[in-house]
Amino acid sequence: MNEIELLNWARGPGLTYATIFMVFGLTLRVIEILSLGRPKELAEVRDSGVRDGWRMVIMRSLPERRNWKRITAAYLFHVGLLIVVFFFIPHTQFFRDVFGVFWNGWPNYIIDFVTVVSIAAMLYTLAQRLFDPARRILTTIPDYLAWLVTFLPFVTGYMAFHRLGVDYTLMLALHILSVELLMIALPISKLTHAVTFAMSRWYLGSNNGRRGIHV
Amino acid sequence: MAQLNGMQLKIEVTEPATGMAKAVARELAEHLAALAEHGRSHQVDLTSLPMSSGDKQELASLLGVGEVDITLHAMGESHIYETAFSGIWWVKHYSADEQLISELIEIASIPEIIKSPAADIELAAQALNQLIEQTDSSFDTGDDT
Amino acid sequence: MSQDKQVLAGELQRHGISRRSFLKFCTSMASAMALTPAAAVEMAQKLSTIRRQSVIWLSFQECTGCTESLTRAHKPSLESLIFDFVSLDYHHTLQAASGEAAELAREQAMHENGGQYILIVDGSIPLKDGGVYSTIAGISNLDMLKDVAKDAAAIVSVGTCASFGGLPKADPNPTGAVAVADIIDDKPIINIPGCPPMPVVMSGVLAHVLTFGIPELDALGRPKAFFGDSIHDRCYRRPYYDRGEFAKSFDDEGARKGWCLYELGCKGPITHNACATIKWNNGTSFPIQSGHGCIGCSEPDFWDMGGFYKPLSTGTSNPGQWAGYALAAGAAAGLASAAVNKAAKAKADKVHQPVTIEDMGKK
Ligand code: SF4
Repeated sequence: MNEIELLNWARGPGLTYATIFMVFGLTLRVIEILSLGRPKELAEVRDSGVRDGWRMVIMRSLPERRNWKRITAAYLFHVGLLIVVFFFIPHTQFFRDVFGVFWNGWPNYIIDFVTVVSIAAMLYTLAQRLFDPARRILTTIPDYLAWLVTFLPFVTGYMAFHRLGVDYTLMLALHILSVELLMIALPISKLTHAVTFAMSRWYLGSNNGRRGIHV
Repeated sequence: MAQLNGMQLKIEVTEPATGMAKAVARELAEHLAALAEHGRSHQVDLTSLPMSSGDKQELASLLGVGEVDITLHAMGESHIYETAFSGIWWVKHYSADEQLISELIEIASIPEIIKSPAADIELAAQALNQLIEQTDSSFDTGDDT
Repeated sequence: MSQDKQVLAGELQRHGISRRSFLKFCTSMASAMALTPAAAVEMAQKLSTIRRQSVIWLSFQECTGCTESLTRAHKPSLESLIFDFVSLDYHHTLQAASGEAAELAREQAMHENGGQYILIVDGSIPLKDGGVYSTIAGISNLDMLKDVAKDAAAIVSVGTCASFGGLPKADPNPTGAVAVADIIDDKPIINIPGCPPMPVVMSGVLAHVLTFGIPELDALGRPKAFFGDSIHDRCYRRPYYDRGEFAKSFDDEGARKGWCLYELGCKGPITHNACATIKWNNGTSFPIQSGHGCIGCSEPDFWDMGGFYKPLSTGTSNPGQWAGYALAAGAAAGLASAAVNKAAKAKADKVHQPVTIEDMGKK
């Protein structure tokens, strides 16, 4: 198989399989989680918990002061990811092709800068996991794998754009394949939080609220 | 201004010089010295050098124009001239439809392509003799066509 | 025939091609291939002393565009000069003989120059159903290729069809078309893809083969001198790409300003060829310069890249449609799983025994 065949596979069958897997998996998981409902409340319910649910959604999305360096890194990375995924011009072409909606991408130099910052932030969070004794104990192999499948699209994309390393055709194929890997990992790893983060926060918050714990 | 609007203006854009001309000139000087000392000729392919049009102009004005100017008709024209520096020739080959197909600088007492090839000279000698014989016979018959 | 065995130089002259003409030819070939000018002189010397190289040209599933590209210049171009350096012993379209006489010429050339002739192929070879989809004089393309390749010194696959399968191989490949290199593996093969290939590339490579042997090739068997860079590497619209300035349709402001054609489906970034530097029609222009994206014609399977107007960053098929099915299936599976979970939960509730303070005190 030569590079072009690999690229054609990645853009064709590979993309279709990954899409089917991701959409099927995520839908299944979300419905499953929602259908579980709450456990039977054995104590008296003190509050509807709605307010606390929303509070938690917002609070957990705001920076806290405990470890500002790590929090900043996490922020930079998450925001960077969203920007790069949705505002790099070739990506907007992809979404237009799939969803039929179009929005303007951002200039390349901004995307380039954001990518570098995101990569640095991701490396920092990895270093934290590796060198902080407490975090190292808490980190499992699946955590590292989740980090890796998120990191790969960044690096391959960056290298492809700057024509680094191998031939562009191969790099582009690897970039698309790495994204497909991420799509497959989404429903079967903790990366599912990309779609469930809000509802799980609301659930936690409202649970607390119902038990009278207001934060 | 009114006249200007109706005028056909041809704008030639010259890319800025990048300093390549100096570098090429230095290379030429080395080869020229080698030609003087050892009789070694050399060629520099300008087509494959990353020279802007500005660079080429700069190099051309640096080298100047000498006494010899040659036009070759061989599957399209070729323009060749000796620069102000003896032994440095500027060679431009054009195709039959006047496209520049290659451009080089030759450091030689005479560009390779100008020399009459030995085999051609031999053939020419024969041909000329033949021609003389033919014309002789035509004089004999008094046929002047 | 005896004339063909003569040294080239004298013979060319009889055809009105001067030594200077072919020194000029060699100079431009050498320059196009990034060889030194000294190599041009050497090339000219070699060309004048070699004997006429016997060439057999086989045309299989093709459209004759490759031959057209090489031979149909309006004025006798330098590129077509290469025909004067070879003895084209067999070529469907160009030879005068036809029918059995033609096949006889091929067999004779093979016999007389066994082990020394160069085989040029354009067109792909159908393998399906015993190769019945393309035959010449009742011989299948596969058989003829194998037969002629056996005693060839080297093979040159001209055009994308011979190099990679090309149009006949496009999905769903009804004839089971393959490239020359898929069949022959014991001979040096040079691929000169392009639909059609550039004339100067064909003649340059042939000149190189005649004088210096096989040129340096890339992983896909293409001469690096011409296929080393991508169109995008050498594209004059590249600064617009780098700045993210893209034409959005063929007639918008961006298109008129000459912005990058990526969003209109340009395949330049993954296409290796010399169009952006050498250009077409004697250096006049090339597709991107005339406002159309590169279609990637010198790359394998370029027909199956999802469409000439689909940007490189999109899928070749539409994953959206599949996403719909996957969503429905996921929802169904989710509900089924929910039902199972609910039953389990109900069962757990039933066996649930509240623990009282007294129970705890019992220990
Ligand atoms: S027009 Fe095509 S080859 Fe040129 S810069 Fe844009 S994408 Fe690259």
